[in-house]
Amino acid sequence: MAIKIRSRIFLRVFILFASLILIIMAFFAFMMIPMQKDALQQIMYTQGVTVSRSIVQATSDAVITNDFGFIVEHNVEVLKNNPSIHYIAVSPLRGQSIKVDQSGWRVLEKPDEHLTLMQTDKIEYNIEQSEWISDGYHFVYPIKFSGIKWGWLHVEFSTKKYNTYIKAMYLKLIYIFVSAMILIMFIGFFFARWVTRPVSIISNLATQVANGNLDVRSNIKRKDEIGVLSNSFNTMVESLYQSKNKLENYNQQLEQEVKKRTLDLDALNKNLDKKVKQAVMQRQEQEQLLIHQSRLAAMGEMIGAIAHQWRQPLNALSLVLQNQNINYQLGKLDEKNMQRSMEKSERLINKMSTTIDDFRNFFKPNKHAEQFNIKTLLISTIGLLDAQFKNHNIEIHINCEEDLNIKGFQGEFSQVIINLLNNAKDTLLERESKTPTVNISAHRIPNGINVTVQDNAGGISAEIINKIYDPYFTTKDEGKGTGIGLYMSKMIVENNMQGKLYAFNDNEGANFVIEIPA
Amino acid sequence: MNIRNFKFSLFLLLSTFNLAFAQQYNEVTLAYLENGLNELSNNKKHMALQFLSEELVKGSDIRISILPVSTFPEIQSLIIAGKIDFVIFNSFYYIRHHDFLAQFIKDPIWVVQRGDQDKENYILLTNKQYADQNIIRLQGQRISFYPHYLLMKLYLEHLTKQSNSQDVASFFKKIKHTKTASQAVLDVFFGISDVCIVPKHIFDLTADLNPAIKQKLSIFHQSGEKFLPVLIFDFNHTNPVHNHIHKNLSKIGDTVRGKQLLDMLNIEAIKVTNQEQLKPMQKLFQSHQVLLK
Repeated sequence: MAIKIRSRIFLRVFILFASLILIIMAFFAFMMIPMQKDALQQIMYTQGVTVSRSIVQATSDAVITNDFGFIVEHNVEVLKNNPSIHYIAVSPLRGQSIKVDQSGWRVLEKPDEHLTLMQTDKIEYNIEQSEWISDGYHFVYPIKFSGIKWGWLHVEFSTKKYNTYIKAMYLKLIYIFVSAMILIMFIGFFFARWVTRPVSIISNLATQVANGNLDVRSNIKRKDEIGVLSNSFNTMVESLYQSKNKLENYNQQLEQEVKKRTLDLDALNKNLDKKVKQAVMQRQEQEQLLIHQSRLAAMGEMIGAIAHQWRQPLNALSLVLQNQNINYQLGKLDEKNMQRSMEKSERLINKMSTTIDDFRNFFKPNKHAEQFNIKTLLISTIGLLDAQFKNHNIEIHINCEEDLNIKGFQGEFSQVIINLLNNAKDTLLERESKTPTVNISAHRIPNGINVTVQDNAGGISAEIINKIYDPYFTTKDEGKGTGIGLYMSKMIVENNMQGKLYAFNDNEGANFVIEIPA
Repeated sequence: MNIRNFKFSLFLLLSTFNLAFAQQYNEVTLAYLENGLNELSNNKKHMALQFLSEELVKGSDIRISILPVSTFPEIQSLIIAGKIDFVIFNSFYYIRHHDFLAQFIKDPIWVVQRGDQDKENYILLTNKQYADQNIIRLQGQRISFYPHYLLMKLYLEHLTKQSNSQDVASFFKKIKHTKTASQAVLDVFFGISDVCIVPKHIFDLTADLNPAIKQKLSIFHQSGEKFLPVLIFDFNHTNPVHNHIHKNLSKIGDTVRGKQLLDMLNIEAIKVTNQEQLKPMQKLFQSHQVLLK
């Protein structure tokens, strides 16, 4: 498997290895250069001492006898045989100095002041430039005979060789450095590859695994951490492989299930329209049923109301018949009496007939919306229930403005009022209010008309106040309530009259409010 | 038997053995007389002479051996015995032993040139205070010279003899023998001596190193260019292999290697000459001999 050069771990190991070697080399070079320089200076010092001693020894007789000719000749010869010496100067304690260099020699009145400073009792040397000293290693050797100081010998050596050595050393260092760089590149590459290859292999395998290929396995067999990693990797991949198989099985099952469900959904979609229509129809049928039930309930209410209305005339009619029967048995049945009874009976029967007409007119469905007066409608509606309310000693008060007219189905509106009044009546009776009272008020509001039916039965329980408009919800005993009155009332107000029907409690009892836009 | 005689006898013995092999290897012998060529006793220069000899036989199967000889009688014995092919010695011995050598010498002769001219010009140097005066003015003064320049020493003696019939030691108050020729010039410059005698090229060379010398010193007297200081003779011209050496000897300075070797010996060139060119020196010697009588 080829190692990618740009693999980050490979590069890191390679750079780390190369940096380490280079740092070590740089450290050694840093340490070696001053040592080499010191060693070279030591060599130059030794050379200075040797040459100086040799000259002094060879010219000692001449020095003592001031045989400057010999001194010059000797030093010329020394210079001829030692091209690395720039000059030799003899500077006696007193008198002129003689300087011999590669181009000749000359007598100097006195040496350079700078050199005079170097003329001490011990050997002095330096590497610098001055009038006397060129770019070289200047060596000052005190000349003494039997402990008596005679003067100084100045010898300047060329530092060319020294510089060449230093230059050669730098060049060698550069050469070593470059060679090392090449070697480091070469060895570092293989070292980094040796170190990172297993990691790279596992990394590549992991990448393949990440890309979904779970058939790969590491074949690295080692006893170190890499070996453990390899084994763990294989275990992990095997585990993933098994999990994948399980998942694939699950997936297949799921796909089958989805296919089945899709088919079902397709079928369902195909039948949805039909079912919706069926549901709508069911809903319409239910509503029709509700309406029918409502009408039945209304009819029941009407029959009850008629029964109440008829009770008094029927009693009166019964009394008329009893009086006639008594008059007949007493023989007092005459024409006048008969006429009076007939008139009275006819009046009673007409009244009962009128009652039936009133109820029939009231429950006759309105096919068209028409303008009607609220107060008139409230009075006529209360008139239908008046007998029942009086029978239960329930007072009804109307507080209504005279000219409140709205356009709508007055029969339906009247039915809403009846529902609210019947609910108030039933609640007042159930809760046995001491002064059962129902107040009906109607007045204008900014955008329409407000009609409120208020009782003093204590109000609607908080638990059920949100459910009272649900169809078939009732708090009345079984057989007494159908649970559709408020539902139908809300439907009439909100759907047919575009108004609102809501309820709230006050201190006395419940308030049902009808708001109808004008 | 002293050491010198023992060495010479040993050489003769070895030469006898060499002679037996000489025909096989074309071996030639180069002898030189140390006296008068003191520079060659220096090991370094002896080695240079060895290398120079090898350069002379380069390109041939000739083997050359170098033989230092201490005295002229030894040279004479070797010449008589025919043991040596080439000899180098100071010209002083040529003019002194001309009668003996004349029977063995044939042209060409080779001469060593040390200065810029073929022939050397010996000069007396003094401080400028002595300029344009007679040589007698130098009597009683201190003199420095290099004693191994035998011809120069002869010329100095000839001058003193000519001036007032005195030898050098009597003429001068103090004689200083210097270790080099140029040191004699320096002695006069530094006031150690009042006069010196040197070949002119030595003075020029010394002055080149310090021009102040020419400002301070002046040439009091000069011999003129007549002295050929060192001579090389072939005592076996009939040997055909010598032609190779003759050729190489004449053009030794033409090669870089040869030039380097000449430099090591402080020789400018080796040139061919003949006996006619040596006659002025011989005439001087004869004249001096007359003065000595």
